[in-house]
Amino acid sequence: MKWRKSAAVAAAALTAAGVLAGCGSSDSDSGSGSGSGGKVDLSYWLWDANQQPGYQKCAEAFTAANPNISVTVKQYGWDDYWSSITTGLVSGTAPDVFTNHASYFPTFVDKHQILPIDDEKVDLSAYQAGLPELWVGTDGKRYGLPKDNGLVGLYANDGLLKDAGKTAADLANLTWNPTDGGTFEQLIAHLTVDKAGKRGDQPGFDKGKVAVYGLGLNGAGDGSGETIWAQYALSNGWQYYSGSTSKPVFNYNDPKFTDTLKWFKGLSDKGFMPSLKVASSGIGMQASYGAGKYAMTTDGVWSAKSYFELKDVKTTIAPLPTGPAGRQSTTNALGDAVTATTKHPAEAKKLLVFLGGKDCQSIVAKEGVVLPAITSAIEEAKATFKTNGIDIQPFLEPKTSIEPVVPQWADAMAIFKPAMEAFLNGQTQADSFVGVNDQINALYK
Amino acid sequence: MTLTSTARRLRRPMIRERRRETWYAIAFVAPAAIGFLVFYLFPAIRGVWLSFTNYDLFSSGEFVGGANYAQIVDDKVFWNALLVTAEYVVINIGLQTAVALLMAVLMQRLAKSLVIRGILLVPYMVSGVVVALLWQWLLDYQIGIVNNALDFVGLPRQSFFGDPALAIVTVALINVWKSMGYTALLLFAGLQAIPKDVYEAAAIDGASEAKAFWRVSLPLLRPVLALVLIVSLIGSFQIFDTIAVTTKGGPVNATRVIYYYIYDLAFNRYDFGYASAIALVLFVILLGITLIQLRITRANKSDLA
Repeated sequence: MKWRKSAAVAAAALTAAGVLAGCGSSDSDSGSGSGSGGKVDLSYWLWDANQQPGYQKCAEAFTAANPNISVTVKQYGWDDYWSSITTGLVSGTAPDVFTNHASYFPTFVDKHQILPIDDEKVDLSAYQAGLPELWVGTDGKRYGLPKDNGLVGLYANDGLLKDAGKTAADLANLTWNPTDGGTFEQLIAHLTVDKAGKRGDQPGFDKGKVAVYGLGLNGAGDGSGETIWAQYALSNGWQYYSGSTSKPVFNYNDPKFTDTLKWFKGLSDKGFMPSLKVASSGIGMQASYGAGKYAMTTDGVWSAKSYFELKDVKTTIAPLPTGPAGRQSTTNALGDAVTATTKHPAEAKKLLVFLGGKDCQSIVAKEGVVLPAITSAIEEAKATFKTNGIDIQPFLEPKTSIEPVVPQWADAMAIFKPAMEAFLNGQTQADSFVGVNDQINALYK
Repeated sequence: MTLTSTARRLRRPMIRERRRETWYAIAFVAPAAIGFLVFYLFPAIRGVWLSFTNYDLFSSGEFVGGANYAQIVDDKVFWNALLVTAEYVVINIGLQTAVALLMAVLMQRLAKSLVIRGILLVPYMVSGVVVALLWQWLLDYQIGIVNNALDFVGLPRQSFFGDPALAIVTVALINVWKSMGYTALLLFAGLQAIPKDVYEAAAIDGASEAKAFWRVSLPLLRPVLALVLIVSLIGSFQIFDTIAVTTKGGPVNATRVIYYYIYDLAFNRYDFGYASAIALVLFVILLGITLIQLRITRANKSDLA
């Protein structure tokens, strides 16, 4: 998920050409020294500062239940986090347990850097359908438990809706298709306003001088298209790939995908959505939305809290539009992992199961930051969001597809991302994805 | 007592003295030498070795011969990265040196106030990441002050970071803004070192202010100018932070400079072997450029001597 987008990137500059690969590979002391008298101190890392308070409480609850095990929770920014984890795994200073991300997971399994938890007893039916499969490796073993449910919804600016004579009820049953965009596109057009005050669906609308875009754009995204184009492609009956997770055959050459992309780019060409050039030149989608430049955005449930904290804008949440193949959303979940370098694998696995379990997820739900993956905590999360004035029911309406969790994702994305940017910038046509798809699939042969 | 025994007695303490001096010398050199060996020389040698392996951080890597170097030849992204880096360096160094030279002359002739001279240095004091974030806000397409100003005077808004034609120029200009004060200060120090009587002689011979600059200041400034060029050129090739914060190599590959590409290969794709090979190619290029520069500018000779 894209918390990293909002975080300031502060990757250290490399100073000398040769220094690059100078990390040692000696196996020194692991970060967790064991104390005397059978006491064990575990370290737990996460990158999302918003979730730290909840997991700190979980760590305390875990120690209360297991007085022999204490847990130190540490938070790092996204970029620091992953370089610390990877170099820590090599040098033996990695934490015992850490929050894992789907894009890194297959590599860690492949390189035997994390431990399977198959010997732990877990009731997988307690989780929302589909999510537990995320943390099964290409070797068929289970490495983690899903913690949240990263669903996507439609955020709309209340004031701009009212100006356009629309209410939240008009957003509840939107339809979409790749040919004319359905009632969804009609709404986007109506919410778009040029400098002269003409709306996108009125004659004389000047698409060169747009004051408010009907729909915002959050960059070109990666091959998962999360929050950007994936919900449309999926609701057009498209699927990311066929075959197994270890040997996927991607479908980026499918007309269902390319038709969706043509429609998507068409929104920019018509002036209803900013072009990629405009959208990628600045601070970000939420800042522009907060300044009243976008009437609507598609974004994840994990961003709900920050949308409702915007000072100048009141927000309504609506479900995604229904396409030819129904209402569809991507989903993704974070999960924890036990490092192979831990000195206390038994205790670390116990902690992992606790953090993904009912008691801890109930604590997390009461923080009102994310939607928990465990079904028992959903109502608590809903209630917490409600007290903050947020109705998250619309997020739960679509059917869900899990984003790809496959090996060599970074290599595939090095091919996909420039191609998507080139397409959205108008430098290539949608049929260029046939070649892109061949290149990506060649990685898995 | 014979003469020889006296001499022997005298020589002993001298040897002891010299030995002690050697120890002092080692003690003084050690901190820098250890740092150089541990943080530069050893990693550099290891980098050379890694460039012949398929090291991926998690396993020790196998020797693959020149495969990484053969891959570079056909790597379009690499050649594009070199081109983009060159484009950046030319704009950055060209403009930065010209502006800094002008500022240095102005500092010497006009702005004698310490406060003003100090203010020129402020952007350089700010961390590169902060500078990049600051300009990202200022240049935002919709809510940035620069685009609102353009709009106000009737000019079209510009997507400074999103337009492939503008992105690398924008990044280059941001870093000109950041470093010009520092470069100007170095050049200013060089100008101060030129004796006043040379200017007086030029004035007596009837040279105008412009002529004095081209015929007196510039030639006498050459050693300092050469040093500044070499240092800032190498620094310019290492452009990374601004791009990591603002464009991340995009749009498409328009700002995928060589250092960002190396970083991406190593730390996102774990292809340390290939990344090391590219780093080594970059090292050879920089070494070559520096040698040529030293030769052309004759940096080791001053016309004042």
